[in-house]
Amino acid sequence: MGKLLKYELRKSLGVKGVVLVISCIFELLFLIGLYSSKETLIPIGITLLYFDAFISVVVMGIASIRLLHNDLNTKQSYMLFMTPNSSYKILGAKVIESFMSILIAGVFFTSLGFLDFTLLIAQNGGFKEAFDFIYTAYQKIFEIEINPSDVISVIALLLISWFYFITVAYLAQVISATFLNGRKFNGIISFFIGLAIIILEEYAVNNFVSISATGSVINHNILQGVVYLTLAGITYAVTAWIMDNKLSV
Amino acid sequence: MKFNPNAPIYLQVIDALKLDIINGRLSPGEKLPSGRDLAVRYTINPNTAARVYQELERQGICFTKRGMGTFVTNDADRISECRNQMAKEVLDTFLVSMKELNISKDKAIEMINESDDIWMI
Amino acid sequence: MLESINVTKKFLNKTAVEDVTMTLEKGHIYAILGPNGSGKTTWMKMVAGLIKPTSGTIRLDGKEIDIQSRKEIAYMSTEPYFYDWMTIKDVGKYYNDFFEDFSMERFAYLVNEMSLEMNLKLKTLSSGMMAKLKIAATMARDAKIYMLDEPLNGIDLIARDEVMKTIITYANEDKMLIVSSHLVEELEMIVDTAIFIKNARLQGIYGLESLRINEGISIADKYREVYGKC
Repeated sequence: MGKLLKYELRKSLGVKGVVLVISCIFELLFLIGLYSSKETLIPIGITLLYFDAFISVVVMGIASIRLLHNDLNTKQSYMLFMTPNSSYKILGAKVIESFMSILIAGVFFTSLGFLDFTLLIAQNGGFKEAFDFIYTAYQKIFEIEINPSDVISVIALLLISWFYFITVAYLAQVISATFLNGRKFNGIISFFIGLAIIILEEYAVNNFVSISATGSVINHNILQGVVYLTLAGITYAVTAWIMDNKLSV
Repeated sequence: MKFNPNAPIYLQVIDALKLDIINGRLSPGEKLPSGRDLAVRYTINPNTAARVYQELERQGICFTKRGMGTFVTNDADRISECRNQMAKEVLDTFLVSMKELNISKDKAIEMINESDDIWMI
Repeated sequence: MLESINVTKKFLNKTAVEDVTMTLEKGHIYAILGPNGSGKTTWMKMVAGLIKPTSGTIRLDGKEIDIQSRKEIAYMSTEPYFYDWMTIKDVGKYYNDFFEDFSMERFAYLVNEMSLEMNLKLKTLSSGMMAKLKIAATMARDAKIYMLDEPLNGIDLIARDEVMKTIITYANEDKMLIVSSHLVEELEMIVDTAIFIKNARLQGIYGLESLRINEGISIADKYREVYGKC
């Protein structure tokens, strides 16, 4: 399993490298703006980093789905399936790699955000006043208390739900490569199957969570996160079972 | 080596080895390549190579020393006997062909005498 | 001993292998012959545990083929399948990571023997070099069964000789080699038995020498006889 994981990491290295380099460039823009006279670079850097964070997580996920597609449908598939490893292990390594990548990216971008925010305040007192003003106004209008742990729980939930989406996309890929293999439009059909699974489960999850969750934002988010992780686990097990029984390499 | 597609391969390799022994390219008592090396040398199946040595041993042209390998026989009589046998086979083929060409034995002998003397070259 | 018992594989709209029953023994090099699309590759993939038969069983030494059988069966596909970011050395490391029977020393020896170099990037390899690399990686395993799917496809004469030499060198009484080809003549000398597959079915099994002794013909002649009339 460790070795499978090692190669999954190696295969996704390219995308991660690109993400890191781009993020570094944007961060550099921000820092140059902060510590030089070119202040216009500050908002540019922040905006770019903000979108970069989202897009990076999305791109990494899509890249991992694409990688699975290649590992199932191209000659490259022998590399995994000639080894004495079950589909549970082969897919397991991919799921763990995805989860870890999303987690690390989440921690990386959140930390970077907090760091840049702190630097900004330290460098520019006026910004703190402006931020405090917006923050209080926001609290008055929506009558809710925002604290860092809530923010983190929202980010974590976003990441977990994205991870769950990826496992469903894996399932769709495997369905496309097994039951629909050789049929017309198998890519599109499997995409809609995946979409249908997500919509149905999303509907069920929202009902379940709104009934069960009580009180704070955090409680709500934790419950929803646990539900998503459970669903991801189930999706993984179903996907691996199909691979084990129906896949023709 | 180019093989005749209609004759068993092991027999063809046997003939090639016998020729080497008769011509002295392989000396009496000399160690022969291992079965695997023989297979690689002639690009043949290792089982075919093993069969070659079995057959040569059965005919008394080779012998095997346990753990040492296969060697060419030291028996000079056996080698010359082998030469005669092969010559006989070639001669038989030659005679049959001549007969098919409607050439008499005397005419054939005459033709041999008149032919270019490749022994002198 | 490898047993294929009533093995059938059906795909969506065609039967790739139909009711193939045969027993193969260790210590032999088998040629599995037939035109493209006759079912050779599908049968080999089932033996390799890459595909499950629709019906029938395949057993290695009495045990049905499963994922663990991949530890004892080395399968080499026709097309190159290595990751394109790899160097030759990476390929060795990959096999070393996943196969207990793989020997890095033997791999290094074969790579050298085939005039390749460890630090070559796969992207730069010619098709002949790639074919040699696949053989080196596969034969550097100490497997019970080696299955080589079209190892001579698309490679030049020199590479061909090197591949044949490697096959002969590592065949012994404890190993079974199954080599597929649609180029019969090239394979004929190094095998001892030929398995003919025709239209997904087993047409016949012929011994190289017994064909020559009994019928005075080569495997290639037999091939023409069997496939010529269709």
